[in-house]
Amino acid sequence: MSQELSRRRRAIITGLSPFLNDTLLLEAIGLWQQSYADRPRFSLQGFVSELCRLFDLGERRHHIHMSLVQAMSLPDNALHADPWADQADSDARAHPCTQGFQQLMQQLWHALGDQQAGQVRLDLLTLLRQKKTTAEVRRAMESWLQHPQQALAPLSMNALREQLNRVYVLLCERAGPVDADRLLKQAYDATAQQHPSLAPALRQLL
Amino acid sequence: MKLLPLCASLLMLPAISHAGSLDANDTVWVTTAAALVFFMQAGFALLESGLSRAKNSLNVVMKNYMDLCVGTLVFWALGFGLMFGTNPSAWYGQDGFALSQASTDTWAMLLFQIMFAATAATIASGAMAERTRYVGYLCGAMLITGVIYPLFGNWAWNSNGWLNQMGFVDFAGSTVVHSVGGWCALAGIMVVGPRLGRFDNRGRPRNIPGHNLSYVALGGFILWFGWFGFNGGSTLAATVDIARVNLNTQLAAAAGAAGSVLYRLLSRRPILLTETVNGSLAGLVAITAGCATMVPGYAILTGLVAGLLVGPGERLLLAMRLDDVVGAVPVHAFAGAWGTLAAGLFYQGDLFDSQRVLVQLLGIVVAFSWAFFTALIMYMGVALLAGLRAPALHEQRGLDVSEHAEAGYPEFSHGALYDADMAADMERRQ
Repeated sequence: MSQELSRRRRAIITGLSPFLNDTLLLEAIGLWQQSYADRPRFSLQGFVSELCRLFDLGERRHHIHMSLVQAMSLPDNALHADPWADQADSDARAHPCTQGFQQLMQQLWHALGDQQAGQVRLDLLTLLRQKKTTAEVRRAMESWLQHPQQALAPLSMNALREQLNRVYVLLCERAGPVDADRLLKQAYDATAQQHPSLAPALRQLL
Repeated sequence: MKLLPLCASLLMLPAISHAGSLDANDTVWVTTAAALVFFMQAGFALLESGLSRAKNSLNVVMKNYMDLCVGTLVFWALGFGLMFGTNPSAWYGQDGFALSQASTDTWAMLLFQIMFAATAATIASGAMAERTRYVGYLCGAMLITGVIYPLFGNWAWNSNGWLNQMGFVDFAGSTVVHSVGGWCALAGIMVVGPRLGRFDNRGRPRNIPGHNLSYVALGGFILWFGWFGFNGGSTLAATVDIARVNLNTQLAAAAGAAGSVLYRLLSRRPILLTETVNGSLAGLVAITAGCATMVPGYAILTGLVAGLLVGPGERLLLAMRLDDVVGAVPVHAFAGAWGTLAAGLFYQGDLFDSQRVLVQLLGIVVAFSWAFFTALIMYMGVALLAGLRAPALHEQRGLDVSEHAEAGYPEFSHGALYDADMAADMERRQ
């Protein structure tokens, strides 16, 4: 996870905390990560507009915008802590299945090549919106699929299994069932070889 | 012309035997033939397992094994009575359910007919392989052996059945057993849908090769062997007529294989083992109706045409995006329909009798309408109540692991993700 991303998230948390309670703040951060984190640093208008629309904060729009712009310029030591940064490290240790899933997917993307992998990720994003998926899983997966180099937020075993199976179904549709089996097996072997500590989690996941 | 009364008496044999006319030799032959037909289940199991991927190979065998078991019990309890019970209405039998007291003739008949019922039921397992839930499939097998097969069997084989009364000729069951099973299989694959990724987004089929084609050939040999009991035993007596019945069986099977090879040669395609085996099976299915009432030359023609039908039949299903894993519909339904028509066309001493051909056509249409639509409703009901389509996760893991927590090849699983250890994990999780 990049330092810059963590810093900007801390700035967003700092800028929004006078206006939102903890629950809404988490939702707002999720929204920012999902749709705005990859945009230029000061292009906050769209994000603020959507926030005001979602949380009915139209009257405070100007203040929220100003607060965010100011927070972006604050020095590091003036920013609120990033609770997700520590969480990400500990989660990786506490959630080997999530890590295993992520590594397995990386191997699959690698084997598929950039173009095919991109198509599968797009299909998966579409499925996340079409199929019954909890908001938490959808947000985490969407964020990760749009920024695959970032860490995937920890998810339950069942959710990961479901997502893996969706990927398998997409592979069957795109490459055929015989190749889908082969690709999954190759990805498993490569992941288990490169990360032996994840092998038990991978077996559980599959 | 002397053969006509003989043939007519052969057609009536189920009823005659039920009335009690088997001597010891007849009984020995019929029960031995029943064992031969039983052995066909092993042939079906090998053929269907060989044509499935390794990760589903056990599941297919388990379906063959258990449809025989549940089919036996259901046919004893319900099917036999519906099929061969007293039949004043000409539509269904009214007694003979769950028999515990009867003559030795009836025991022989019941044993032999149980094997036929199980054959009709097991045809669907191969067509629906690799994506059908075990319990859902068995529910379907119970309804086929308990209702669908025996009711049509009553119309065609019960001495008072309405089709039988019209002179419908189906000596050993091209239509009664094979087409009925094939039409049920067609309904099954329509309801359960194709395997994941079987067709690409333009509808073009993808090849999903079976895991062991030697099994397919071995299954073909065993089925062929068992068919001598299937057709020869349908004389229901140890008579000299068995010789011609089984000669015709042999000739038609050989001609069926030759027909499928001929089709491949004419269409300039490589000659496939799978299609060749299916060609011989189509020949066997086709001759089943007329093996007692045809001269050998016509038996060869019947088998040859059946073999020629297999390839185009499989392609027709693929064009309709229907995924029949083993080609059960062309082999059993299409070839069965053709064989039933051929039995009318090539009836010895009365060739090409339009009246007889019309009755045969009526029987074919009735078999399709009854078996296909009833099975369609049945499988929809099973899908709704018990679940028919295996979840995508089960298809990913393979039905061996997901349904049985066992691996087909625990010591030879190189290249398979879901190996014996994974299967053991699954069992521990449950």
